[in-house]
Amino acid sequence: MNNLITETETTTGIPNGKLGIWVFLASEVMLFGAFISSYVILRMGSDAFIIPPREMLGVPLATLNTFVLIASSVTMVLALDAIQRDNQKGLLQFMALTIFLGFCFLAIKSYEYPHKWSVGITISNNLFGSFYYTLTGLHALHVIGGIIFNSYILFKAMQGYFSAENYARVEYAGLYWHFVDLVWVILFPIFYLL
Amino acid sequence: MVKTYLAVFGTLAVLTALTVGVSYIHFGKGGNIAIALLIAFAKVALIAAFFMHLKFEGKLIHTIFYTAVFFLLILLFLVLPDIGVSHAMMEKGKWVAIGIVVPAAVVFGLFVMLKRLK
Repeated sequence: MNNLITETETTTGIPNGKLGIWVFLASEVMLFGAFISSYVILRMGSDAFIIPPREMLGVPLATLNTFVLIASSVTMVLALDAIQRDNQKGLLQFMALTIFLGFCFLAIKSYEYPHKWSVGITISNNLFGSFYYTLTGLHALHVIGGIIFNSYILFKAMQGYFSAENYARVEYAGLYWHFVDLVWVILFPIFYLL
Repeated sequence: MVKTYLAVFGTLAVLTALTVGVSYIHFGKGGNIAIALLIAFAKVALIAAFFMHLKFEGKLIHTIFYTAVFFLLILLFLVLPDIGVSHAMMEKGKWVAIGIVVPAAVVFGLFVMLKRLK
């Protein structure tokens, strides 16, 4: 059975899948890090960097979105906890909830973007807008990717693929999803609050 | 573990409310940035340690994680001398800028020479 792939011995002592996802996340840190550091440096270093007043940014909605993403992170980790105790029903419920909260995040974002266009923050009219849409857009793409990954886990879970001995893929999906949450935790203050 | 996860969730929610609340109070530009980044750092640490189980991982995963953090810090801070010099150039004129660069270059040169003498 290929269910026991994760149980095989590796030279590193940890499953190859886990090593792979962490190396991938390290490369993701560099991807977001490159954008965030150029944002920080241009913003601090340039006198021509105009920051829109916070009324235009819609802080309450962004705060709600932060709560939504944190909540989806905790449902994800509860899904993993459920399957580690062989609770199939818990896994299905929490995975479905995680995916639902992911869609909620995207729904709020898709309301936020047109609102920003209407008040004049666009990707091309100033540096703030360029960085805002590049970074939150890249993050939204990651959320979409996460929803796809999580949907795959939910699909497999419905077939009864996972068990208390075989939950590695749930864990990897979780690591990726928490990383997406982690990036938003950094983007939120640097774009909305400062 | 469920209790720990829910406690972390509660802390994250409180910190989010706190960072939004505090941002309406004026502590000066530097103060507000410092507080916001400190709270963001605390939240990142909580997510990584408990949700991503970094706290319970071995040496290899930690090495990968801190390597990424190290290079991130390079991205953020290695460009600072360049900003310093170009601002000195704009605001104080090229002689001040040269005044900054040349001593730094001389110190570095001396450092290299001393290392070769050994």
